[in-house]
Amino acid sequence: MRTYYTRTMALGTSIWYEENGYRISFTDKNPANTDYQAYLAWVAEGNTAEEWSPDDAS
Amino acid sequence: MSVSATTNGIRPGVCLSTAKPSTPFVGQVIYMSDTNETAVWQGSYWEGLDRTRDRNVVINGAMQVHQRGTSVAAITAAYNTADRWGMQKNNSGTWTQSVENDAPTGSGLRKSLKMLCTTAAASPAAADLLSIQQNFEGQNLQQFLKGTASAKQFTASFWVKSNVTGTYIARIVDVDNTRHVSASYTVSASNTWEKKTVTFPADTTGAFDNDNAESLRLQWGLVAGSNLTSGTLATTWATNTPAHALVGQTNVASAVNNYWQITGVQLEAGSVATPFEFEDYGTTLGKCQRYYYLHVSGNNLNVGPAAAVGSTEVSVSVSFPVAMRADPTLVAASGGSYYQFYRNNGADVFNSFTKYSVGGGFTHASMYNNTEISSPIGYGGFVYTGNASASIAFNAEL
Repeated sequence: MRTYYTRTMALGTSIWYEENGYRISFTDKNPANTDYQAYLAWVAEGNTAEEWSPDDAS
Repeated sequence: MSVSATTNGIRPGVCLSTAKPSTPFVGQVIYMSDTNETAVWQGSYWEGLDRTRDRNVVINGAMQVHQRGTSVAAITAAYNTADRWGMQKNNSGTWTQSVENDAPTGSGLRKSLKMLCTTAAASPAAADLLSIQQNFEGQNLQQFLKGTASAKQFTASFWVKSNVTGTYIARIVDVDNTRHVSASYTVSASNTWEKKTVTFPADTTGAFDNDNAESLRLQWGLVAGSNLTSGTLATTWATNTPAHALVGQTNVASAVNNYWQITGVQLEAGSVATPFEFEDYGTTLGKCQRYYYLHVSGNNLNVGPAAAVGSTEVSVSVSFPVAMRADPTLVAASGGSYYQFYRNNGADVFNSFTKYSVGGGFTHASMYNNTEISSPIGYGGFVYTGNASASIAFNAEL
């Protein structure tokens, strides 16, 4: 199952997931982005993204 | 100045209602009152005069642009090789998609999109589906006048080749109004390029939205289970009902090494299939980049100017060659030391990028890595790729 991560910053929120060696990332700024639409559908199903925190920094 | 039709050889046009003349002369102009179209006989075909250029709403119909690559085995993603050409797949065996240097001789076309079956699905399950399609923005479709009393037909023309002869289904789906219509065509000769023309009826119900979202889907069936074939083929516009979508579709997945190839795809308003509208590569590439832009792919490539905006964070701004359709998704290959930030007194290597903001008009965006940098804040420099597998692309596909 796909896991989404988020990071809230001054200009908006970055949202991303990892798949097949790629990081797929987008923002919450444009509803026409089909990946954002899929993310909203995933949230509507009751899922919650993991919020990134500075402690995650390596 | 007056012009004499008699002395200058100008011959009058002919007004017709439902039929074209059987022996037209070159330059003859006709007006078809039933479809509200004007066309001129060019010696071998009727050329629509309502739009003499930019008739084709299909992008990359000649399969010339393939930013994602030329071959992908065991495809699962919606987009794989030729730009703008999407796929829907549910089971239906295993397939390789490729862009081939193979096209109809003498057509001027040089490439084609090929679907090759590598694991058969001889008896498709009810929900099986494999289709090739292109999706269209509503704001690029207003010339079809859909949903009005003057609605025009949709004429699709294309070259197709397959080793599996039989009946195939092409269809268009009005996504805005949940309507669809299908038509059959026949692959008559195996392993032979054949030119096909399919005219879908006009639809006076349901206008296309005039925006940047998906309004229309042009789709070709390759595999269809009973969920899509159990009804009666929808040859007139109706509410989109899956059971009526692909009735009669030949199963191209019946055996390994079966294939289906397509090129020279055109979709235009009206009942006339005009010759394929060739365009220069740069024009097609620009159109494709509105939906997908490959910024870099490979080693030692300049990603762009960068700055350390935090003690562990580097940010890069990327400009797009054309305005993208929407705020794009960043697709960044991730791996050990795929990227390098060169700045004063050193370099930082890091593994991936995450998208941050986008510029107004979707002309540029910024991306960052905030976990693998250890540069003094404020240092500027450049980011380069550090691995042959590194790649950065922006995706705003429909």
